[in-house]
Amino acid sequence: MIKVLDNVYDLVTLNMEQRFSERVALRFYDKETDEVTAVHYKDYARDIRRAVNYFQSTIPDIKGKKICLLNKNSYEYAVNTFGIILAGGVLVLLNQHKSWDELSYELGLVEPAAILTDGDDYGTKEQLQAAYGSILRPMDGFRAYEPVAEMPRCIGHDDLMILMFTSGTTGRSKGVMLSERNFFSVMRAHVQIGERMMEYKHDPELVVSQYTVLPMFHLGAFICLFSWAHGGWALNISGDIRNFYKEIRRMPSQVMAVVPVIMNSLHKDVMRGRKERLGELWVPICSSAMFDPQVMLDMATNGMFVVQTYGATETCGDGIINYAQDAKHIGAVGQGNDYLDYKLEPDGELCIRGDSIMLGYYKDPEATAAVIDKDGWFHTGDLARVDEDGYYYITGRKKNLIILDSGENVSPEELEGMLEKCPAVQECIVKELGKKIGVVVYCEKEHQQTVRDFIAQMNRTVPLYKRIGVVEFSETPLPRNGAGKLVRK
Amino acid sequence: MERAEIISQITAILEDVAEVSPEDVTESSVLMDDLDLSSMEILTIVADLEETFGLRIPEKELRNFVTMGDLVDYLAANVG
Repeated sequence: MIKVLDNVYDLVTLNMEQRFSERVALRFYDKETDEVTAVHYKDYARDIRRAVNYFQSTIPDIKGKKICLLNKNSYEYAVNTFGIILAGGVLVLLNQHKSWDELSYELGLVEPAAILTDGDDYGTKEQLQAAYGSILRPMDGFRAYEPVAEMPRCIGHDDLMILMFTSGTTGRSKGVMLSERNFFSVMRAHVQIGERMMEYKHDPELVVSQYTVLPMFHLGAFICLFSWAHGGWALNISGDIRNFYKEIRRMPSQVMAVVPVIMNSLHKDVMRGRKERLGELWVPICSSAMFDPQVMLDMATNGMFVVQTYGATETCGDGIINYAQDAKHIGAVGQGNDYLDYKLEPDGELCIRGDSIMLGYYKDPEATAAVIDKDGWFHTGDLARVDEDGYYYITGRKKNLIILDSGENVSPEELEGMLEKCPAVQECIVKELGKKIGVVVYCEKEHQQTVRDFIAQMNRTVPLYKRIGVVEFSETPLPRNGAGKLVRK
Repeated sequence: MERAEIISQITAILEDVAEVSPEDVTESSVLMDDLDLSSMEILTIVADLEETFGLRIPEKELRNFVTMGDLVDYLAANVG
């Protein structure tokens, strides 16, 4: 069993500098030179020590000050992450693709002491320069500094360590406050992904590499910086999904965290008999959204080991993990971890309690109180059911529920999932339209009749109360929020 | 650059990335539909086009690439 640590200091000084010092920690591909660079844990840790020195030397009284990372995935992203935390700063992860309206709101809220950027223009460079020019810094400032000799031990286990933003479907994004305890409480469950792989392959020495293309400001990708260093495994970091096929060949990876759009692409390759293009990949880790169980089953029957994780930024990632590969359970999110308590409210809402639950929303006690009750239960807003074998299945989201005059509750996501099976539907959103279940469909004008026919057929397969009564078309893509999710209101 | 030359470059990349036969490709081919390309394949093709033509295609342009003709139009307008 892999030894699980409980703090960042040990992760760097024991795992990176001693136990796994000679192993590869990170790889990245440079498109310009067409070369792959591999960095070993000992060199990675040396750069982290440089970063600690850099931040402590250049930001006076750094303890508790907010330092933002605003850029794509890179080696420097990883180094600065640990450098900021170990220097005593609060790490703030921001989405570089957000509009200036959203970004300036978040920056205003956190009042950063420094913002690290890679200099690329993601559409807000000018405004960023005008508003925060004096505190903008390059990502590689640490390189000019000597490694700190004495690694500081200044992190309070329950202090705010990392701030990440989560966007609701309405309103402003919220800063989720996470502590060292939050991060390390989920490590046992996270490390199990690797252990399950070892078990599956009957190889206790298996070293696994993960292709990391989901953005690091997303908790599911970010947390791997902590968990992968527990096993001495490597992260193959990608800053651009466009390089996927090239990178997966050049940086062989067994594991890859995926969202549905990526999973569907992998599925297509597998079903077309082109699995060899994916190199050594055999463990897609599904997260962030609802997946088509048939897609997952197809992958499992074609030699993949499909892992599904369920969680939120507020639960510091993996609240539940599913390893089942059989048709009955592959669509579930798992049986629950022993470090968390779970309960279903009478309305089906899944609630989670335990050490991984966030400290709260930054500067927003009201919003915190709305999701964490007095007994410490985090209300996920997701509806679930549990089967006779103890597997949880997500059935919809409470806040998007359509409640009809008849008193029936309908989950828009369930119907959207069915509608998305119609190839002509590019995007759709199900909501209440004139007291009926309605749908707005974005599709090509010439395909509108096809979509109408599909809905007519679909209505024959659902209970009466779930039938879609109003169909509207949009000739432009539907509006999305900063996280890329459809805006429902 | 001549339009025909652009088309022949794209079809070569399509054949390489997604094993699409050049005779199946016309300017009106819908990338995800007629040519059955996945979103990831489209991004890979874009990456190869950038390399071939020595340009960087901004992310906001990507969603406009629905048909083969859209790609050709963009390159014809942006490649010197």
